[in-house]
Amino acid sequence: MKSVKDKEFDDLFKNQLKDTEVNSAYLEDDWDDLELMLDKPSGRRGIVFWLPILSSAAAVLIFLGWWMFRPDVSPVVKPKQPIAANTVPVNTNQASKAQKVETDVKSSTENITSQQVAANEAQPVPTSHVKENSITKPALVSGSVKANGLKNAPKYALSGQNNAPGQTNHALQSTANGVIPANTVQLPNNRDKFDFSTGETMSLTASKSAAVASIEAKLLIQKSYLPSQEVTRGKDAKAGSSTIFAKRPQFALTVLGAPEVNGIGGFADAKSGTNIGLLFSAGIFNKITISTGANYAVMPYNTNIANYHSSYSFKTNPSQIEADCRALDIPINIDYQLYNKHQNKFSIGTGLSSYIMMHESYDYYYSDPTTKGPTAYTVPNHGKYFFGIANIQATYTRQVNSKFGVSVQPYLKLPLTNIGYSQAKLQTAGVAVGLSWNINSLTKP
Amino acid sequence: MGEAELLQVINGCVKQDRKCQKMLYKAFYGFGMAICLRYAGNRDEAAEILNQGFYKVFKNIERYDSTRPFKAWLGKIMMNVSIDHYRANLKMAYTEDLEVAEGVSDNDYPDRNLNYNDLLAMVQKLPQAYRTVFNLFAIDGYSHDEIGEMLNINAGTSKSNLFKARQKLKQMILDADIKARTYNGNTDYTSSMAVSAVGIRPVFFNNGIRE
Repeated sequence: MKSVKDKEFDDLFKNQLKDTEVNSAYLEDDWDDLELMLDKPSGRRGIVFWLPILSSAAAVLIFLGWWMFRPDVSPVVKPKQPIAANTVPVNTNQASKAQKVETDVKSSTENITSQQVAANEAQPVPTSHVKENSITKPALVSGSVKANGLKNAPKYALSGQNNAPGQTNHALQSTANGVIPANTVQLPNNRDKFDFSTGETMSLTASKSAAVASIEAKLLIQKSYLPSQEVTRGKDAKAGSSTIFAKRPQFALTVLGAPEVNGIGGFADAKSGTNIGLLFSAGIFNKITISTGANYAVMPYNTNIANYHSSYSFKTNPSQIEADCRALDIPINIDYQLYNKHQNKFSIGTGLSSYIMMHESYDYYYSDPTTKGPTAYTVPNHGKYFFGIANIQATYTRQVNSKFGVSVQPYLKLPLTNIGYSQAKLQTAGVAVGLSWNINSLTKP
Repeated sequence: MGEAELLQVINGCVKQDRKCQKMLYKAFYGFGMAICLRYAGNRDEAAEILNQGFYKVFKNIERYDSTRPFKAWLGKIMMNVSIDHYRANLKMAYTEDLEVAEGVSDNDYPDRNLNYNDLLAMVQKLPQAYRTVFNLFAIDGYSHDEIGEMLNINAGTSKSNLFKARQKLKQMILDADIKARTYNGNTDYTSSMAVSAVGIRPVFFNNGIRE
């Protein structure tokens, strides 16, 4: 009885409001508004559209700013190992016993920029004919300095005769910061001390009683060095020397924009989308570059009910489903450089992308337009799919000048997991065009 | 607009011909607006929904199956856009005054000859959640299960909203009756509103229709 009353009540409204036509309602202003909508290119515009990109770019820039200007907190490497030793065995007829001169120099400060150490006592007589004498400019001692060799021994012996006994012939030159800051060189036998702090040639006044027959000087130098400094030494020492470079990592910021196509399980029924973003890349090794950033991807795609998986069950399945997905794509890629000549670089790479959905909506179309069922659904939640997409890309870069380069990058994004509310296996392919800016150009000395 | 002329105009719309689009818009403006008005809270909102609907129509006109009535297709789109609009304002819809409907007995409302504008004004006064369910159930004839699917609510919520909508409408009818009686000095009711010509714009183009 109640339902009859309700029906009557509803009919009161239905009879008046259903299928009514308001004839004189037309307003030209309304048409003008619609015309504006029709003239506007599709897609959202305005600051809201750019907000995710701008915020991502700001985050990357803030990180870079912090990274570039962060205080240097790298720990001071304390010298522990003896890395230079020079043993000069000198035999003379008068030698009664060998005297070992061991010099142990310990580093205590870092601020000595150049210091020349010459343990050649024979200053009045230029007898430092050791091959290491070819070192003519301040150089950092690195590695072990090989023995001067026995062939030099007679000269030492000769020079020793003219001078004070107990000589050690050494020419050590150093530019290290803190290489030889120690002020004392101890001679175990005679306890004589050397002052190295002045950087001048010093004399070793050996004990008068010590016979200058055989001098074996062993100089142990503990040092620390700057990685960018280079070591030069004489020919004999070449084998033990090495040129040490600290390769400066290359950093770049790249703005990318790409037209792309999206499809489920292939590109047969693909729809076009766009991808725009900012990437930060760091060349960590000679040919390896790692990049990350944020891209805003607009990914419309078509699907059918077979590829649409949701908890909702349609009474009548839609014949076609159109999806409009907008996502923040956060990639982490690694690229290997295959070719680099004449300002042209070519590299291939791979990586993983994470999607954070910014907008996700579906339109349902039925083969029979009178079918009763949902026609559209906007997913209220922002789904997050971490490392759910595999990236494969090839990049060609043309370096315009030292600061800027342009790049073309065909890429393919393959799903590792189901993406979105519809749990779709969404594939994307596109060609990104980018402008890269070499950040190192800011800080070049 | 005759059948042949309509098809010609629709073909023009498929080619995105602006003149044809305007002709179609003008021809079905009244029909579309009537649907949007009962789903919307006021005329401005209705016009906004109407234009969104026509935008969809023009963008998807090639999907229209010419063997079927155009009005049915258009009406469905208008209803769908109205539901989309409801969804977009979902938060607002449920924070509106969804107070418990006052107890009004089923027989309490007077058997009056209420006209289109009276009834439209009452429907528009309903909170959006009630209004949408009432429109879909009472006027467009959907079941609670179907409404639940469309609005992503369960059937129970749909029933509850319909019940509350009816209660509110009955109360509005009662209030209007009392007002009319007071105005007419308790004489027999003759609605001054009911004589308003449908064609006169201010009848529902005043935004104060709810007041």
